[in-house]
Amino acid sequence: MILRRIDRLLADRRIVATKTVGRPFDPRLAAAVATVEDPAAADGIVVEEVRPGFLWQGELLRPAEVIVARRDVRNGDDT
Amino acid sequence: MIEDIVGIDLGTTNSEIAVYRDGRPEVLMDELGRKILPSVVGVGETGDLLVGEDARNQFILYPERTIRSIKRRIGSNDKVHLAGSEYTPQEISAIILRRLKDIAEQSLGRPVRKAVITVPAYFSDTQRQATREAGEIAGLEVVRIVNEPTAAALVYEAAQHQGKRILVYDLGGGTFDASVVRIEAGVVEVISSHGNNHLGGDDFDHKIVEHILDHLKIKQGVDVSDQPKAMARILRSAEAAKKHLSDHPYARIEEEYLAETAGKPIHLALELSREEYEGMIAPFIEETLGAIHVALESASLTSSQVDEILLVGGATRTPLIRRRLREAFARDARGEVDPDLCVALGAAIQGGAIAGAEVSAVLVDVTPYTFGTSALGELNGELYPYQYVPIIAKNTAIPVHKSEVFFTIRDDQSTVEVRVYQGENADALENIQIGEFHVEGLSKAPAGNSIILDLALDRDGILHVSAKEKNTGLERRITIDRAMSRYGKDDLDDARQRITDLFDAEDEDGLPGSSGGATGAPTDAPLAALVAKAQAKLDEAGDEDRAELIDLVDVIADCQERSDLAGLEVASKQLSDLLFYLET
Repeated sequence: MILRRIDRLLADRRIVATKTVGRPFDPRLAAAVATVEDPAAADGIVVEEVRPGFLWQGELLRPAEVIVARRDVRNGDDT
Repeated sequence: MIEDIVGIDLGTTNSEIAVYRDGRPEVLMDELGRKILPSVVGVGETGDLLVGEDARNQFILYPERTIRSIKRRIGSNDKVHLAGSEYTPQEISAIILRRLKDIAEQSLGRPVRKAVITVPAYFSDTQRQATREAGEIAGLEVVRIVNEPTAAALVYEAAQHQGKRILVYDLGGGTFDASVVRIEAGVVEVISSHGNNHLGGDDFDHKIVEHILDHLKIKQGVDVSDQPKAMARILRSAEAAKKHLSDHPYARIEEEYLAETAGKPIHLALELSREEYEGMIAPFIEETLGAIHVALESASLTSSQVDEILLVGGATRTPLIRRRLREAFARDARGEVDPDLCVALGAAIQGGAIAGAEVSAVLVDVTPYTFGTSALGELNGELYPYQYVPIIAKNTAIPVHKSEVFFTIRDDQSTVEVRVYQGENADALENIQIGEFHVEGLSKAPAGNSIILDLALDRDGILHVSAKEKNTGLERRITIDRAMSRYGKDDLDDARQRITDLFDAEDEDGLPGSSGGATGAPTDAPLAALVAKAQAKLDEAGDEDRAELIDLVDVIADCQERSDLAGLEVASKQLSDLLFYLET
């Protein structure tokens, strides 16, 4: 019952989940939380969603958190 | 019109931009309503420039095309590599400044040309010059470089004429600084500063992550540290738990289907108490106290010569920091201005002053009194049943919501008495009692049964108090109106009488929020209104909801007839929840 209500609430408020899996990573819609070497997926393609993201009337409400396919992962140039 | 001079906090982790207008500083928001811009710059897959959250989002995926913490390198001759090109640290900083400038122009609707930019007090001339250059590359005339602790002091003490010595405790995501600042006739000067460039709130998160990993190893025999998805979820849970523990004594850490081992799902469910958490981070806090002593020594000051302690940086929301500072300085630190935005606000005040505005310190709605309860404890070295336990400290920004845990003192204790006081004295009986109630019917448990006392003070000065038995959820609530009114000793009896009346009324009908001393059948107005609302909703509700509404209205009528107060409370709560869903 609660789930049904939440779905209805979200739809009423025009909140939609972003679609990320199987698409190229877009930093405006999703945050990469990890990379994996996945021979089945091309470089830079989202392979899994850890947490869904949402849009409200086309505006980003919350970015998705995703895992992205990456070959030849080098170390970051940080600090 | 006076030209705007914006104030910019160009931070290691995050940056903000603010402006002084209509007599006060204000942090400006981007088009999505965000006030904080992560200090991260990147180049996207298609070669476009990313600044802020978008750049941070791709850091793990494309570290070679993303730069963070550039502030650590400003003033050096290092070149940074970004997507195949070389840049100076000034150029990267300029990209962040340029984005802030755009945010400000969009928000203000006019061009922004001049800025005050803050830097750490320990920055060398070279580092300051490089920061100034970054501003100029971004198209800003940097009218002044201001020390971060100076900006923080201005937020609290601008237009202060009396001389003061202020300790600024600044603990951000990844850096810590303690600075001694002197303010005299409106002039602010940093006397000394000491810190650790690699200590901050991120370290607290990692301690909780380690704790969770240990828990999984011991309780479930699994190690998920090599599973990126599980680790990402654990890190997010740890951050959420850290924030929750700033205001509450316990945090639940729960993640379903965290991972799989031998085809069986692993769920994470553990409770972290504030006490355990404080144990983990205590060494970090002790280190900051050490740094304070170095800063005080180089300023030739003793702790008693400090007139004020100001808290800056998001990590200072951790209550252990306030507590340790109180122990060390015998005074309460102030942090009522949002510690994430404080430095930017101070920079804007400085900008306003240079532009010729008559500036003043930031005023925040705060509680002028401490609220707390009494418990068995020590007073002057002796066991005493009315030791005062402050829960909401005075000068806390309101609205505020805090809870603390207390424990029963006898086995099978069935009742606890909760008293609520306003005042500062360590002996609760010397403070002003503004409320009292009992929680009855506690479960049979050995001494040490946890009772969570929760105090929420809203902007209208209404204090909501609840006490809840942790293991059963048994709860009792009261509401104290006008909690922030000053109770003089003469008014005390009046106040007591008023409160007593309030409680008498509540005891009779057993419903929170009801007023008046109605006797007999509990047919009070809020309940009648609730039922009327439910009846009005019947037509528009779906079948399932309608059936539920009818059921609940029946149950309420039945309880009223039988004077079943407990049943009434449950049913009316369910009904108001259902109405809430239907209305939203």
